[in-house]
Amino acid sequence: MSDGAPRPYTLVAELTYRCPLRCVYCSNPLDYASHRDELGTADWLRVFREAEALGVVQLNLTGGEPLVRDDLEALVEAARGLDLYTNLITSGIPCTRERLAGLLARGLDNVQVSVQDVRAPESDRIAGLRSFERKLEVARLVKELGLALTLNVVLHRENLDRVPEIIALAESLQADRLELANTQYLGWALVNRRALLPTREQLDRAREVARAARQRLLGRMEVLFVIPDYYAEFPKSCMDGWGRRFIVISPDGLALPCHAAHTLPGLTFDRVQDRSLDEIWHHSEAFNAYRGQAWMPEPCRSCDKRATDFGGCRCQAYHLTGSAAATDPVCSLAPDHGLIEAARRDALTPGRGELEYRSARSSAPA
Amino acid sequence: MLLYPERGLVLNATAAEVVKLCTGEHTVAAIVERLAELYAPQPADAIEREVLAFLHAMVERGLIRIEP
Repeated sequence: MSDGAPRPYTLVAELTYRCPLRCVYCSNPLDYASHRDELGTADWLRVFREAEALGVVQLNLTGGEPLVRDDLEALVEAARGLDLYTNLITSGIPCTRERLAGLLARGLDNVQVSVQDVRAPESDRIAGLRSFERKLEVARLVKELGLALTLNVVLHRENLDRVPEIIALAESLQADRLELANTQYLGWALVNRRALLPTREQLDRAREVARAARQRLLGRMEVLFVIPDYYAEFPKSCMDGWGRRFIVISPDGLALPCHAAHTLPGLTFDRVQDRSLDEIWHHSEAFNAYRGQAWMPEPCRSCDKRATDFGGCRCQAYHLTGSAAATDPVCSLAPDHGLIEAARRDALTPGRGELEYRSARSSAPA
Repeated sequence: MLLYPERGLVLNATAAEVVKLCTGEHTVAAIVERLAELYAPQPADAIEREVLAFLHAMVERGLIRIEP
């Protein structure tokens, strides 16, 4: 490591790739169905302890849909015992009041519920399942029980013009936090990019609405607008830098620097069943591959933003250019930036592709 | 460290004292008074200004709620 040993702050525990929803922008890998053997409870509990010992203070329980794990209660209880701030990231399907109350009693701190749009037909179309009304019920339950609620809405071409209504919905649900997350074009979202990528005009309008709401709602609801990097001048600091702040564990136990790292060829990822998290974090080939700045090509290597954006997203670089060590093409200085400009131009033309739903049937190695 | 969804805020010792007093039982005035005691002989009005500015910033972030 060229930059000294960083301390991880957040463990992202992808408890399962199973999910009743089929969202067209799911961030799970296209071959999720081939990752079958889920870690058992004891392994997860050990991973939590090892993560806490490394310095982790935040735990995101996610998936797939974490509620399909029947040991979620035990996991939350153990996380509370380790003083981790525990956030359940859920579609809200399937969930009951009893289940939520039980998780609260065991120390769950925050629940993030996603909806796909502001009305049932549009939301259910993106989710590939009738789920919208039930999701709203679950969001209300979260607040009734006194838990903190984050409402998450992934933004794209079809719903960006409804950001005002989305904010109104979040207010009516009394969400503590609204995450307006522009689609990241990886996983299923990259497959569906033509149908999902908005125009710059749509984005600029939505960003302005979100900015005004953020000011108006200060102290009541935090409004976050996650950068749409296809329309940014410079890339985002993906995961706050590779192997710097985050550890993601896939359902089958791969320790990853990000959700999609295992789609990169040529890297060997360790399993938490085989090595301690401490060893993996400090010494594994995969965590060190793009850590620091030694791997960087030009124009990153001599760029004054290299310690801010860390060269952008390795997975985006690979999936668009074929090289994981390339400068993220969303960067206006990247040699392959033309790929992004072409996608933007295409967003201005009429006619969208069909949506391809996340499914095991169409899963194939990426 | 004060933790909230997906982030954390590293508090200095004074800020941590203030946050610990935000239990719902103390008025803002009582918190200022307590801090003034802790940090005497620093002038109470300066301490009051700083505590209020800190509380305001925390309220804006939605991390502390002031009940009427």
